[in-house]
Order: sequence, then C-alpha cells, then structure tokens
Amino acid sequence: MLTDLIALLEPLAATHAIQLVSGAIVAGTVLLILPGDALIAPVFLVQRGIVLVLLCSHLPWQVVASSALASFAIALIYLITVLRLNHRQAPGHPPAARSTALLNHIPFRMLGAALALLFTSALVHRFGPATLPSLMTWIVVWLLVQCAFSVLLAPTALHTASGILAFADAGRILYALASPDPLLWGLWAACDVVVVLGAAHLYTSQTAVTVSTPPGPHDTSDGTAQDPPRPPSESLESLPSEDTGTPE
Amino acid sequence: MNPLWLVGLTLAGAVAAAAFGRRRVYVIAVGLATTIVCYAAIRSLAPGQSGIFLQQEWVLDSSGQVLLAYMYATTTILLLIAAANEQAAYNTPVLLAAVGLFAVLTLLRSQWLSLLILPAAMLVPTLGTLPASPSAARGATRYLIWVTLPIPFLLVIPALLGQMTVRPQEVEWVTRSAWLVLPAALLWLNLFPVDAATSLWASDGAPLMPSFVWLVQQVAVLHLLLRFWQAHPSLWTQPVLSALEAFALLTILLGGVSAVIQASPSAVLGKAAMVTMGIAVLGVTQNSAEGLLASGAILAGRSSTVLLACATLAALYQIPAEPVPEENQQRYWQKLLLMVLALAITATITLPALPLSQEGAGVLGILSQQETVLQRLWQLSLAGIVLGQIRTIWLLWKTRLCRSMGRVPMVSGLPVALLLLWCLYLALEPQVLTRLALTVVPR
Repeated sequence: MLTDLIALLEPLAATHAIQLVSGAIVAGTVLLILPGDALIAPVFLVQRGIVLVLLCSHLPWQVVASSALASFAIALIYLITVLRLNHRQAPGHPPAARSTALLNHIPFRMLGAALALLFTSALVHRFGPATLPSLMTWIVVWLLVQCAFSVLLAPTALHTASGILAFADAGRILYALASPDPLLWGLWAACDVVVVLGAAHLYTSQTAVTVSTPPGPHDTSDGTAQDPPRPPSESLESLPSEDTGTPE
Repeated sequence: MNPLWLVGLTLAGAVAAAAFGRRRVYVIAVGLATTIVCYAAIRSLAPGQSGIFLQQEWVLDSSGQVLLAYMYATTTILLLIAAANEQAAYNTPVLLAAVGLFAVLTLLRSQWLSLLILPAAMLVPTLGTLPASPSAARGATRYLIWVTLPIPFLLVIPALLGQMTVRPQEVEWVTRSAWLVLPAALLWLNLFPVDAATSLWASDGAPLMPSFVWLVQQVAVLHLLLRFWQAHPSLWTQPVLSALEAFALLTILLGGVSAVIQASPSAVLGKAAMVTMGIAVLGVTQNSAEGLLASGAILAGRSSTVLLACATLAALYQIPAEPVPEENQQRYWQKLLLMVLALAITATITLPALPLSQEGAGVLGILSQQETVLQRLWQLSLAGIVLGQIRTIWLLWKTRLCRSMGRVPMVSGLPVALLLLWCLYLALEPQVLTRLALTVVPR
C-alpha cells in the first residue's frame, strides 16, 4: 500500500515541486509566527509530509516508511502534551511557561518571520545556484534559517524542538543525495522522536513550575538569577498530584 | 557470559524501576542491584568477546570494558547520592536507560551506528529533569538543542571519503571530512560556546543529572571520538586539532571567569567541571602519549571531586529550612558541609596542579610545555571559580542554611563521608590517578 502511495506521489514531486517548496516555507512561517502550541502538531506534519513527498523519488520505500512513522509519533507526542496541559490548566491561569512577554506578541513574531524570509532569500542568491538545484537550495536554506529563528524566538521547549527538527530535515534532504543507509536513517528518525519526548517533558516541567509559582522579580533568563534555589522536594510537591502521587 | 546481557539487564532494570513508580525504596533497590550486578559482571568478563545480534557485531574490547566498569560505578554512586532524595524515583529509571544506551554504543562494532545512538543516549538524561526551577528546564532545553545537530555533518563523511577512493588525487575531500568531526566534538563535549547549558541546568538543587552528563556522557563521548579517530587516522589533522585546542582554551578561560556571576554553588561546580574538561581536551589535542595520560588522570580525578560536591549539595538540600530563624543555634552540620563543598569545588579546579608522578610533574606542567598560555588562563579561571564559589556559598548560607534546622540524614551523610575519605586519599597519593588513567585511555 505504501509503495502504491509513493508511486502516486512521485509525479506530484516532479510536476508541482514549486508549490510543494512554497508550501513547506509557508508551513515554516506559520510555525514561526504562532506563539501557541496547539497548532504545532498539524503544521509540523504538513511540513514534514511535503519534505517526504519531495524526497520519495530519491529514497527506498523503507526509508520513507521509517520517516513517516517517526513523523506520526512526533505529532502524537506534541498533541498529547498540549492536550494534557490544556486539560490540567486551572481556569484563570495564564498559558504555561512563557519565558518573556515579547515572544508572545504576534506582530513581533511576524517581524521575525519576515526577517527569516529575507535572510533565506539573501543566502539563496549568495550561495545557491552554483552548488545545488534552485528549489532544493530554497528549501534547505529555509529549513536552516527556520531552525535558527525557531530557537531564538521559542517561547517553549516544544517550539525549540520544532527548530531542531527543521535542522534535521535540512540535513536529511542533503543526505538523500548520497544514497542513504536505511538503518542510519531510521536511527536518525528515532533520535528525532527522543528530542520531542525530551522537549515535551521539559515543557511539562516548565509548566508545573509556572502554574505553581509566579515568576519572581529576580528571575533572569541567563541563569544568573539571585533567587535562592529551592530543594527538589519542595518543587516535587508543587507538581499536580496525578503526575507525581504522594512521595513515600 | 555474552556482554550483550549487560545491555539487556540495564534496560530491563530501567523498565522495572519505572514500573515501581513513586515507591522510592523499591526503585532505588532495583537501580542499585542492576548497576552493582552489571559492574561485577563486566569486571569478571574477559575482553575480546564478541557476538552477532540484530545483524550487527558486538565486541567487548579492553578499553570498552574499563569504560563500562567506570560508567556502572559512577552511576551506582549517583544512585546512592539520590537515594535520600525524592528525586530518586524520577532519576533512577532515566539513569539506567541512559547507561544501557551508552553500553550499546560501547559494545557495537559499527562506529557509524554508535555515533547515531550516542545522541539518543545523550538525550535521555533530559527526561530526568525535575521541575525544580525554570532555570533547570531552560538549561536542559539549551542542552537539547545541541545534541542532534552534529548528525548530518557526520553522515556526510562516508560519502566524502568514498569520493577519495574514486579519485585518490583529490586530497581536499579528506581535509573537508576532517572538519566535519569538529562540530560533534564541540557540541557533544559541551565545549565553549555551548558550555553554559549544563551549568544552567544544574543551577538549582543537587545536580544529579548534570553530574551524569559531566562524568559519564562526556567521558563516553571522548572515548568514542578517540576510537573514531583511531579507526580513521586521516581525519585526525593538525588544523582540526588546532581549532579544538582553541575551543578548549576558550572553555578554560571563559568557563572559569563566568563562574563569578553564577547563581548557585551547583552552577559554579558546573563551570569548574567544564574548565577541567577543557584541560582534558587540551591533553588529547597534544597528540602525545603524555597528553593522553594527563587527560585520563584529570578526568579520573574530576569524577571523584564532582561526585563529592554533588553528594554534599544533595545532603545540604535535604536539611529542612525553617521560616523563622532560631537564635543560638550553631548549625555545625551545615557549616561542615559547606566547607566540604568548598573543598570539593576547589579540588575540581586545582586538580591540574597535583603532581601525577614521583618527579612532581602535574597535568599543567605537562601540557604547558606545548601550550605556554595555559598557566595564565588556568590562574584566571581559578580566580573566577574561587570568587564564584565564595559568593554563591555565602548566598546559600544567607538565603537558606542559616535558617535551617535539624541534622543531615544518615543516608545523605554516608556518601559524603566515603567520598571525602576517597578524595583525601587521592590528594595524598595523586599518583593513583595516573595508574587509573593507564587503564582508561584507549590503546
């Protein structure tokens, strides 16, 4: 069935390559602009799906299958994390774990996304045509720039993870040119899943702290805060009961 | 016994520990039993055993055996330190899973597979991050960013080396390939400029997971990279070594200087551990047997002092704080532990000055022969760490410990006492570190 699907998608990559690359860039822009976490999973799936469609003619079906499987696992982790925390959120609390207010302003994020597009265009014109086909250059450069801007603008660990995945996708497109080893490719896909698992755990941790303790006046983002450290036992008590239970 | 059983046992231990959930005593019992059995088993195995599993060849060589024994021993001590804390239920399954994955990549014959399993193993400790403070989660998130970035660079290397077999006259392919190993070395060893992530991660509470990263993960990465360079000597080029050396020197200088502005003793400990790592990497880049031995010795010493500091911090955070200060309390235990903590952090940074041989040559003396600025950089770094620790220890006393009541729990005090005795022995007999290093460095 998968081979049939790949056979169906292969001509699409050949005839609609411009639209697909544009779609991937638009999806990336949406990821950069939206500060919330609710839409990360579907938008990520769209972008990853486009990259896979573009690559499926160059890759063996096992490789495409492992990537597709990993992508669904990642989207599922994103979805479960966001749903769990939305369910847990007490009414009246602000959305969890926003590091600074500026990163939540959509106009600021739109400016960031515009700057990312500008960077991409400049880089493609500077380095592009000599080394790689034009469309491939566009998508690879965009994914690299998207990674940098996602990490810079990330309000939560989930956004950071989406940036890391964009970098991995850029690397995968280049690696696809060099007849990739299915086993290495599959392991790399597994690493992506572990990245998102770690990010989801950190997002949950950040949220537990944000919900239980309002940010202090001395809390800074560079780790040079002057607030006294709290013992782990105190912070464990601050977790929601369904997550930790009662310590023995 | 097939060495692969060790991997299975560790991963099964992780699952069993996770299954016990919040029952701390059972979780710790499973964790300690697993690591102690694995340690005893790996010591009893003869090196050179191999087997085929999942169409891959698995080999236990002598340096891999020492590395595995070191990993199991260090994890056992970390579990003992965690035993008194509520964190144990969180940390134990994660530590066991990470050690299991490190065992996989140590035993796998295929280096390319090992290099891809390594990021997965490195990512696992982030799952043990507690919601202790926003700083810990932020630090772990930053750490997360760097771990998988080197993968594409490494995967390009076989293709570039393949070009070399087709067109042997084009030597530039090898030069390019050699540079592609550099991002992996920088990011996986957490050298400058990514060295701040683990300090930030450690900045609140007892730094159990960051200590695992400093002591187990970084040593495993160094071992794997050395094995990789041994297998591909053409990628071990002078320009790459010079670049690595420059980053190691920057880590030594900026790691120490930035300790002044850290928020807690745990973060200063992280800076001290990274400065020492910088010196160890410098030993590797000197491309000599003495340099490699010095590197092994300093890593062996660092493990002891960082574990002592970690145990002391865990004990300090176990003392309950009272909201109302009570007068006329001497708080001897708190003062004693703070002194031990200061001693452990100072020992971590002064390790390079210890005489490693009967003739009195220390790591600094050995490495300064080729790197003349090292002494000055180390002195600046030492000043930064000492100032940072005085400031943060004073802050910890004023904000928490001077109001704290009660004594240190026995379970927390025991690892501190044992590790203190071991570190005092090392201070009196530093040549032991050289003997340990001789078994650690790959031949």
